[in-house]
Amino acid sequence: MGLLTYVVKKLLIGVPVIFGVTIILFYIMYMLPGDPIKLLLAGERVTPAKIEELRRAWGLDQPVYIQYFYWLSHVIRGDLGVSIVTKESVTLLISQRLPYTLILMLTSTLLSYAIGVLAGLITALKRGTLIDGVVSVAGVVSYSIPGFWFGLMLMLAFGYYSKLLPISGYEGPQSLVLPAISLALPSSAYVMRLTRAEMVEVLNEDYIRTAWAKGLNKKRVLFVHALRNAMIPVVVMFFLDIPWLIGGAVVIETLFALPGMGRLLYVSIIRQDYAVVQGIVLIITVLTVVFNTLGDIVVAVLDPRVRIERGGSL
Amino acid sequence: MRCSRAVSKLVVTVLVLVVVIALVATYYMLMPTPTQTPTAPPTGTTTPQLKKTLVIAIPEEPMGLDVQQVTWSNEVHDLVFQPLVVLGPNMTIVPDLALSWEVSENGTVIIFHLPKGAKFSNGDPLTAEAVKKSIERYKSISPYAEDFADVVEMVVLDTYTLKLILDKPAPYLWAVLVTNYGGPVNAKVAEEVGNDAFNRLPVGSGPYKVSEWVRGSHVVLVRNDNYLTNMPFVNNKGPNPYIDEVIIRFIPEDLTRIAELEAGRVDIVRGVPLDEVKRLRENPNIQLYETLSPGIHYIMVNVRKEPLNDVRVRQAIMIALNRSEIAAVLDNNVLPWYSFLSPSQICYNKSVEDLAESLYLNNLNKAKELLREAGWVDTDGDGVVDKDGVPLKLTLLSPTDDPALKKSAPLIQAQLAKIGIKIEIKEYTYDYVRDLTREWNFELALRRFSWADPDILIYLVHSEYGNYTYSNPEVDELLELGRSVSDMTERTKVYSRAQEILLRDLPLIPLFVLKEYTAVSKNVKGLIVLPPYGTLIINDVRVEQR
Repeated sequence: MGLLTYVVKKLLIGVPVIFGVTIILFYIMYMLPGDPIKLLLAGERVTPAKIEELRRAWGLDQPVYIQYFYWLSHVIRGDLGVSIVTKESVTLLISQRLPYTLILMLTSTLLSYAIGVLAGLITALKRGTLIDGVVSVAGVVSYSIPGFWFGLMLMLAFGYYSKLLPISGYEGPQSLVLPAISLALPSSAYVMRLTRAEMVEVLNEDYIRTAWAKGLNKKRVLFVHALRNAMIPVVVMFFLDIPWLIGGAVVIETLFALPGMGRLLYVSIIRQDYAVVQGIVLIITVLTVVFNTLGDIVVAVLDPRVRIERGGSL
Repeated sequence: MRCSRAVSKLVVTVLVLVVVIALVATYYMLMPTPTQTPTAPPTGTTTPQLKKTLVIAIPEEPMGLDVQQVTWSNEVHDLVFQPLVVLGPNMTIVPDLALSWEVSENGTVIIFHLPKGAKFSNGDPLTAEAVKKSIERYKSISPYAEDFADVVEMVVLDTYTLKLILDKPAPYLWAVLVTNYGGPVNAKVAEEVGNDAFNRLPVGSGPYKVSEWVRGSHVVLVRNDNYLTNMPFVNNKGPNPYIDEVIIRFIPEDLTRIAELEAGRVDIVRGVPLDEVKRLRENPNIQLYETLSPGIHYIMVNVRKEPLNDVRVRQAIMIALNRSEIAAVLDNNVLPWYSFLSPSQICYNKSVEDLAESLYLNNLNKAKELLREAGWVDTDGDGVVDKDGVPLKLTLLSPTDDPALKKSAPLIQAQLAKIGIKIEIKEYTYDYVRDLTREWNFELALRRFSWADPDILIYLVHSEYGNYTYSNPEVDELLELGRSVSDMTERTKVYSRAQEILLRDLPLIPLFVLKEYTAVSKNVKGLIVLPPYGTLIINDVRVEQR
């Protein structure tokens, strides 16, 4: 059926995207000043000869495209390479860290959409009232607060003073509560604004006026006719948002000392551990493609018009 | 119509369910069950007021646990490995694992006597043969293999006696022997399991052994019941009966690390941020241990570049700096410093520091005078001195990830402006600044070094070993000589002489010696923070319940 072809096409487009990203990233890492071996041998007691020897051993003296093809040929065989710093398999390093980040990402996304959609609906339906004003201002404030600072404040309030939750580290699900909130709050404000705008727009549409005119009850008009259409962009955003949260996770995982992939990415970039950075970015790219496709499918299901238009043009 | 809506409803419901199930499933399938909680659980059966677990928070995760494979070691290695000898509190070498040792008169033979019955943490005998194997392994795989380059032969005299034969006297070898790098590793196990596995789960003879390493989070160490030491300054020379387990947590964010200490979830914090020192000092539940860094923080000068190739310009900079002002801005967490070795280094000679201070104590008039002699005068009245129409402008590389250096950069800029030198500050990471200096692509750069032996100077200012711009045959000769003089008094003289020449030539401009802090909960009793590296000695530690 149309939907299936559409999905397959979407996924196929993802492949060159993934390649493109890895090539660009490989080049950026290569262009970065310094090199991993020099960073590795940070002490003063190192002779330049030792540095050269190690560079050769790791193949870093080869031209960048040779390094890339070498890496690629291994990736195709499912081998992400070996970390220059810890000399361990990148697949292993990432698989140890990925679960924490995935859980954090998904919980915080769900949380931010729950808060955001609810607040958006309230402000849209109570447009122009005091509630609208208060919630909207709260939204602007939470959008403007840096997640880092907000995380520190949460840590102080719930970890340091009240001791309800752990300050940092991973001790179980309770350790993810504060990081998830710090990640969710700023993005929930964005969701709120989107929901509100869409809802307001939809409520001004002709068919809503018709629905009122037909004498349908309020509940039916708002939640069946209006909400369903207003939610389409919000649902799309939901799927597009998830991979982006890894960026936020870098900061929040460092702040809360969580052993996630974001922190691994940060440390690996600092140490210029090429293989690990490449591996993580590959995973982020794949996640992005997958979630984008998922988003498209959901839209196609929710809004048959999209399927026809895009299905045709693709 | 009705049907398609039902289908789409179904699809959406299914998708939502999939997301939720995936969430829960990922959680239970992939998340390791937190058997070892990173915080200290209150245990203690025999002595109810004592905590059996010591929790230490450090900023960075080690890159590996095998001290022979890493390029920088940390608290984990300190507890897992045990050197043959250590630097005692007054900078003299005292035994740790070794019972005693002898050095031949010409300095080329060192004989170590190991205690009878010594064992690695896994129970393997720690004999002369094992130490020999360990040193051989160091020479073949460590990035610092050069450390043992002068050890040409090792002879096992009997089960517990090892003779090292050197091709020339190498006093600087002791600087390695006293650190965790010098601790024997169980090379037999490393051979059996392979270097990679050994790097995750090494076997040494230190007071604790690795039980679990949770990546990105913490290392769990448990007591090594085979441990024994001959360190004279600890009371408990065997396994510490009070501490069953040491958890070393990696907390990169400064504020988080301190918050964990203040909340009582962590007992010892390393890498105390300078900004927090003042506040922690006022906290009645915290004790601060202070050690002086075994090295100095300094401005490296590109002596090949105009106008810095003129020694008078370098001297003018040296004398224009007001180091006590810099110290005050850094909350006096540094000592103003004028010479090249810190008090935490071997061969430190106070009279050299006194001489340096008397020569270069802040004096703006003298600095201006030196510039004038070099031909730099402010002719156009714009506040910047010039020569042949060129104003004296210099760039200063400042590392953003070294708070003390980063903070002093603007102050140095302001102080040099007073004598008409215009400084432009460029900020990079420390590693990149080092790279630039190695390529001679700089004018002034803020740097630091840290190593207890004065031999470190050879890597800074020697014309071959050093990667830098300075070259003086006399200094080269003295630094090479310093490598081979065994007699302490003689050796100190050599390095004092080298420093005197450096004081005249100024390829580096000393700024200060950093005070390093370890913040410890008041409940921790009996801790020793051993200079020069601030090694944590926990043989006598007890942790009272808060």
